[in-house]
Amino acid sequence: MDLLVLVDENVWDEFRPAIEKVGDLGRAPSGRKYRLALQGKRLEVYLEHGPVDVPPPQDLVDADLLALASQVFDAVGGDWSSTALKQTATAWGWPVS
Amino acid sequence: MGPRLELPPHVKAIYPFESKYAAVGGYTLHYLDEGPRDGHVMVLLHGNPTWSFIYRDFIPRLVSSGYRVIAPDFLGFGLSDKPAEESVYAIVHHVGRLVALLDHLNVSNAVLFLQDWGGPIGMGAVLARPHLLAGLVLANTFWGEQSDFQRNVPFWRALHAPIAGPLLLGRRGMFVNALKLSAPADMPNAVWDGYALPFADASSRMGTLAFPRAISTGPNHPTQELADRIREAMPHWNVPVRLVWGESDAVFPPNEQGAEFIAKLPRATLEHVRHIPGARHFVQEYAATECVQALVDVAEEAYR
Repeated sequence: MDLLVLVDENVWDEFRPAIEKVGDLGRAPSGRKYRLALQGKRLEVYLEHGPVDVPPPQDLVDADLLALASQVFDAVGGDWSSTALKQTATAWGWPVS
Repeated sequence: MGPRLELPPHVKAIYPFESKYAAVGGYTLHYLDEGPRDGHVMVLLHGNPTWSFIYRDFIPRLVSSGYRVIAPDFLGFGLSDKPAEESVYAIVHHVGRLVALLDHLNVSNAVLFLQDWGGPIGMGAVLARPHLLAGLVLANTFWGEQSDFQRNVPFWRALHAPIAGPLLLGRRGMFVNALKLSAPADMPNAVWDGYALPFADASSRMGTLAFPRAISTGPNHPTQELADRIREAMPHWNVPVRLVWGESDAVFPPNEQGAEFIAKLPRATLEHVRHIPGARHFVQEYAATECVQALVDVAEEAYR
C-alpha cells in the first residue's frame, strides 16, 4: 500500500513536461521510490511502501521530496535549478546541502 | 471542519476578545466585532500568514475612542476553518466571503485598514459594495499583481513550482517561519505562539500556500482581472486616505506600491504617508500607535 505524502492541486502546464521527464517513478538519493501521479492540474506523490514497512520519519520524507522537486526544477531548466531551490529552502529556514 | 482551536491562556491573555463565528459559503469564519454597535465602523484586514491577532493592540484603543471594530480571519487563517483544497482560496472567493460576512454584519460606510492580502481582498469587497468605503488606511499592501521582488527573487517563484510549494509551505511551514524574518526580533514568546499556533501542522497551512500562488503573474492569471478592476477603480475612490509603510519591506518597498497608491488615489498625497524607519512587512507589529492614529485621522475626516 503506497503512502500519499504530498498533493499539489495547482500544477502549471509549463511544469507538465518536466514531471513527465522525471517519470512516473522517481527515486530519491535515499533509495526510496516515489510515484508521481499527475491528472490535470493535480499531482499526487506516493511513497512506495510495503504493507509491513515502517514509514520513514517525516524529515527523511521531506528530504526525499526536496530531491524530487530538484529533479523537476533541473528538468525545466533555465532559471529553475536545483541550486536555486536549495538556496530557497535555506533562505526560508531549512538548511539543506 | 474539525474541532475549533482553543488558544492557551498565555495567548488568550494578550488576545482577550470574544470570538465570533459565521457560516459563510459552507465554511466557518472567525471574526472579532468589538465596541459599540452604533459606533463608526473600522474593518481591519490581515495578510499572510497572520490573522486578527495582529490587531490585538489596535482594538482596545479604537474601542475606547468609540469605534466599532471588525477584524475577520480569512478562510485558512487564525481560528477560521482551514480546508485542504487550494481552489477554495482563490482571491475572488476570499472577496466573496468577506462581502458575505460584512453584509451579515450590516456594515457600510467603514474605514478599512488593509495590509498585505488585506489590500486586494478589501478593495475587491469595495468593488462589490461601494457603500462600504468611507476611508482607507493602506499599510504595506498591493492590489494583487506581483512586485519586482516577487517577479525576480527565486524563492518567491519556487512557491509556484510543483512539489516545492506544498513541501516548503505546507510540510515545512516556511511561511510561518518567514514571519520571524519580517517582524520585530524582540517580540515576546507569547506573541510568536499566537502567530504560530493556528498553523501547527501541514493540514492547517494550505491558506498560506495559496496566497503567494494567487499573486497575479500575468494576463492569464486568475487574480489579474480583479487586479485590473481595482487599478481602474482607485481613481474614483474619493475618500480620505493614509498610508503607513514599513520602509524596510523588501516585498512591497515604499517607492513601488506605496508610490502607485499615491498616484492613483485622488485624496492620497505625500503628506498622507507615514514611513516607519526600520519596519519590515508586518508594520502593525512595529507601529501600532502610528497605525491607530492614521485610522483615527481618516475617520475624523470621513465622518466630519
